[in-house]
Amino acid sequence: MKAWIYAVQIGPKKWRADISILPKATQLYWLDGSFSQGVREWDNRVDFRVKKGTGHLAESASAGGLQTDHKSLWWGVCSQPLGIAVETAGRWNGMFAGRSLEKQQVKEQLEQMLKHVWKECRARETSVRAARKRADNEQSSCGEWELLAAYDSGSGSECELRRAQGQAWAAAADAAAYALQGRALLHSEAHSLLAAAGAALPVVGASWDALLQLAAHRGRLRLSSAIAAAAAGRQRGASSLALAWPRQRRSGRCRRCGSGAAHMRRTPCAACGRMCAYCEACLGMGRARECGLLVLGSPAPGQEPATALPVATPSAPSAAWSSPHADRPLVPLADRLRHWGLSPAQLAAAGEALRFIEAAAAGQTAGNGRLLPFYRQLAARFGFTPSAQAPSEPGPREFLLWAVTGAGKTEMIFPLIESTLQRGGRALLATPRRDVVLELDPRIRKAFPGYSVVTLYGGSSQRWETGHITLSTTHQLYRFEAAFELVIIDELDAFPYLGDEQLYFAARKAGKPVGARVLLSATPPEELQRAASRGRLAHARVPVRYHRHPLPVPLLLRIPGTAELISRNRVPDKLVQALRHSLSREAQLFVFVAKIRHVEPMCHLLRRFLKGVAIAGTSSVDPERTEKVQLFRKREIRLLVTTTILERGVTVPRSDVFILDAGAGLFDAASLVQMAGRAGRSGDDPFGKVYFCSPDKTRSQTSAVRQITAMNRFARKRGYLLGREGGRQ
Amino acid sequence: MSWLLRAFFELLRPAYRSCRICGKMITEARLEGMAGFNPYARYVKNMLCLDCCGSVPWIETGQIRCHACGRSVPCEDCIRAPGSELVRNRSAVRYDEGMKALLARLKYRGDEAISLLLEAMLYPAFEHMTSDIHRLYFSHLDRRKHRFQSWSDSLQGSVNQASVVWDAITYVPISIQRAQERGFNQAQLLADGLAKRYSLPAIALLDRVRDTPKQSIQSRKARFHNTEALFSPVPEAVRLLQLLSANGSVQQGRHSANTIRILIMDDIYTTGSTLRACAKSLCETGVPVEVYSLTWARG
Repeated sequence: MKAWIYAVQIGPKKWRADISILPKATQLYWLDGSFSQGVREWDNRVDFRVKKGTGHLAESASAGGLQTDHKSLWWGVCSQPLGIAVETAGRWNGMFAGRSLEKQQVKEQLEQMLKHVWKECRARETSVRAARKRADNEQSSCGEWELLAAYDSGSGSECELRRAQGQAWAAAADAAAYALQGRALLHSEAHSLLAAAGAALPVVGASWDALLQLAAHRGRLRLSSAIAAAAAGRQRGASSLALAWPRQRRSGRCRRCGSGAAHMRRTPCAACGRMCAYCEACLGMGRARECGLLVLGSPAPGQEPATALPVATPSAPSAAWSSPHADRPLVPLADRLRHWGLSPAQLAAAGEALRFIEAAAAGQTAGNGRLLPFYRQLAARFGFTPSAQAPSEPGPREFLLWAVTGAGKTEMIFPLIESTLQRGGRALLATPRRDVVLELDPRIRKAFPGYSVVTLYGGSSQRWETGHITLSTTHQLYRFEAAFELVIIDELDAFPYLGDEQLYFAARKAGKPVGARVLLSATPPEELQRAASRGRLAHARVPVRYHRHPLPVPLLLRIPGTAELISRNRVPDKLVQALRHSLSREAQLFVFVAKIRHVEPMCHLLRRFLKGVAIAGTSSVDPERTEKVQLFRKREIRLLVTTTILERGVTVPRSDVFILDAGAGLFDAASLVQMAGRAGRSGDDPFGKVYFCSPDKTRSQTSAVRQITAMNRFARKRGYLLGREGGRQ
Repeated sequence: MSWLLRAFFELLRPAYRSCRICGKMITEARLEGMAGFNPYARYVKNMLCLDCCGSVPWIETGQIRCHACGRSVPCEDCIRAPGSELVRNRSAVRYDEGMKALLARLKYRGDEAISLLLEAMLYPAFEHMTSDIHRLYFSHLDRRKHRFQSWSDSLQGSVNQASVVWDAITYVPISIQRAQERGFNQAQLLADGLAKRYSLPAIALLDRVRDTPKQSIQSRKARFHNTEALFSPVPEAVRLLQLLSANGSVQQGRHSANTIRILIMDDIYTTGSTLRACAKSLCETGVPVEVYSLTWARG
C-alpha cells in the first residue's frame, strides 16, 4: 500500500515527521480545532476516571499535547510506497527531532531525505534497468509539498458535530488499541482482529484504517512496514576500502520473524509500483511485504502517551491476588510451591526458576532506579538534558530448565505461571507441535480454573482472543510483540526450533522487555549446554524422574541395518530374543525405524517371527495414527513400529524401546535420548529396557548413553534417587 | 577457528536444492534416456524431487481429445458452443488436487517463487503448441531444413519457431482492487517469463472493466454471465496491434499479409469464458488478429 509523509509542528520550531495511511484522519486530528478538542475531552474523561480512584484530580487539558495556536503541517502531496515512507520519517526524526527548524527548512530536509531514501532503495532493487526507467516520474513525485494550517470548523453546529466526532473516534480508537495490545499483525489480520473483537465503529463514517491511524497518532500503537528497509550501511573506512571485501547488500529485515536478506525476495509489486521485497521465511503466516502494513500494538519506546491504556488482561478473579506486586510481599516461595505436589528434585528446580523470574521482574525496576540518577548527574554535569528514552535495556532474561524425559516438566511450570498471574502479568506457553498444544490445553485449564486460557494453533477458533494464559504453537508467536511477562518455550530442541533463527527471534520478541523467558528441554542443543555449564546461562537441572528411579541406560545390540534385514527377509536371533523377553514381561514395545518406507516391511517381518503378537506400524503419513496410538495405549497393539514422529510427548506405561538403525544419520544424540525416554516412565515399572540396534557404534549413540548416565550420576550425588539405587555406587 | 573450518566444509558440501512442492532435498533426477524419464518433465527435473516430479498430471499431446480447448477428455463445452474468437487453447497440466494446492500457494498465499515452477511446467506445452502451428502454416518455408534436422527441442530451435509464429504474448488482466490486495498478476508473471525465454514481446493489451466476484467460487452459468463485457482493450491497444501488424507484413512468408497471432496467458482454463471474452475484445479492435491461449492448468 501507499502512505503519505508529513511533518507536524509540535512546539515552537519543533517538528516531527510521521506517516499517514489515511490523509483524512490525519488532517482531522492535527488540523481541525473542534475535532482535536473532542479528542482532548475524551482524554480528560478517561484521565478523570483513572485518577479518581487514587484521589488525584484530572490534570490540565494539555495531555495530548495539542495546541491549535501555532499548528501547521507540511504535507507530502504524492503518496509513497509504505516502506519508503516509514524509513524516511524514521530517519528524519532521528536527525531533526530535537532541533529547532524554520518552516522552509523542514520542507527542504524532508524532501532531501525522501530523495535519499529513494535513491538507496533503488540501488537495492535487483532490476536496475527497470528502476531507471521509472526513476524520472518518481523523482518528480518527491518534490511536491504543501503547507497546511490549522483551522476552526466554521459555524457553531458544525463545531459541535466535529467535537462529537472527535470524542466518538477517540473512544473507538482506544478500544481498537486495547484489542491490539501486544500484537504484531499484518493489515488484514488487524482488520479481522478488530472485527472479531467487536470494537465498534463510530457512526460517522470511520473505517478500521481511520481508527488505526488515530490510535497511532495518539501513540497507542505503531504503524510500520512489515519489512524494515535496512540501511545500505556504507562504510567509508580506509580498511574496508583497502580490503575491498565484497559487502553483502542488505535488503531489509522482516519485522515479524527477523529474518534477513537471505529470505527476502524482490518482485515487482502492483500495490506500490516498485520492486518490493517480501519475506519467504514466514510466508506460511501471511505475506509480509515491504509496502505492507504491520500494526504493532505497543507504543514506541520513549513515546508512551500521557494517559496509558489499562493492561489488556481481564482482571484476575480473586481480588486478593489482583493487587500489584509492589504493594505487598508475596507469600514465601516454599508455601506457594507446596500445593503443587512436586517431588524433591522438581521442587528444587521449580524454586530456582521461580526465584529467577521474580528477580527478573523486580531486578529490572531496581536496576533502573540505580542507574538513572547516576546517568542524570553525569548528563547534568556536561550540560546535556537527559533524553526521554531510557538507556537501552537488555531483552528478557533466559532460564534453562533442563529436565530429563519424564521428569514432569509440565507440573514444574505451573508455579511459574501462577506467580506471573498473581503479579498481574500474562503467561505464554509455546510448544512446537499442535498435538502437544491440544494435549496441554485441558491440563492447564484444570490447573488454573479461574483464569482465561487461549489456545492458538493453525485454524484455532480463539485466534483473536486475549487471555491470562496463552498456549500456542511456535509459529503463532509471529503475531505477538512485547505481550507477555513470562514466556515458556517447551521442547526447544524439537523440529521447528532447532536451528531456526526466526522462531528464536519470535520467542524473544513475544516477551516484554522486563519479562523472563524459560526454556524447557530434555536435550538442549550444544550451545545452550555449553553456556549453562560455563555459567553464562541461568539454569536448573532435574536429573531424575518424578518416581525417583534412575533413567534406563540403553544397551547396544549389534545387528545389521534395517534395509538389510528387510532384503534378507530375516531377523537375527539376538533381536528376536530381546523382543520375546520384553513381551514376556508384559511390556509394550516401541520399535523405531529411521525411514517411513521401512515401517510396513518391518511390520511384516516381525509378524512372521513373533506369531500371535498384535503388531502395527505408523508414521507421519498414516491417517490412522491417532487411533493406532490409542490402541497401543490400551494394550490392544503390543508392538508399534514407528518413526521419530512418536519420539516426544507420548507416555505409555510399562514400555520398552528398540531403536533400529540407531546409527543412522537421522538420529542424533538428542533424538536417541528422547526415544530412550519413552521407556520406564511410570512408577509401576520404572525399569524399562532400551536397545540401540545398529551394525556399528556411532558417536551419537555413545553421546546419548553418556548423557543418560551423567544425569543418573548427578541424581545419585544429589540424593534424589530412592533409597536402594541411591545407596548403590 | 571452528567457524573457519565450518565455512571450509560448507564449500565441500554438495549443492542440494529443495523441492519446490514438498521441500525435500533433490538428490537425484531422471536424465534423458533413463528409464522412467518423462520428456515433459525435462524442464522441471531440477526443481522437483522424484516423487513430486512423477505426480505432475501432464496433458501430453497424445492425450488431447478436444483440439479446440486442449482437454484430455472429450469436451462437451466446445461441441455445445462452437465458433468463438479463441482459435485454440492448450494447457500444461490437468487441474487435480495437488495442482490446486500449488496454485493456491501462489495466488492466495503469495509465494511468488512458485511462478517460476509453473512457468517451467508451461515450456513443453508452449513448444508443442508453437511447433504445431509452425507445421500448419510455415512448413513450406523450411522444408529442406526439416528433412535433415527434425524439429528438435533445443532452445534455439524453439526460439526461432516462436518468433516466427507469435507476434506477441499478452495476459488476462486482474482488477485494480485485486492487484492492490495480491500485489501481482499470476498470468502476467507467466507471460513475462515465457516472453523472456523465447524472446517475444509481452504486452498488456487488456483492462478489466469491473471487479467481479472470484471466478473460482462461481457456478458455470454465472461465469458465462460474469464475463460479459468484462474486458476492454487498453487505450493504446489498437496502435500497438497496428504496429505489430505492420511489422509482420514487412516480414516475408506470412500466410496472410497482416493478420497477427497473439497468445493470451492465464493460470487456469475451466469453462474458458474468461479467455473467450478476452479474445472477443481483442478481435473487436478492428485489427485482424488470431487469438490463441495457453494456460497452466485445464480444469
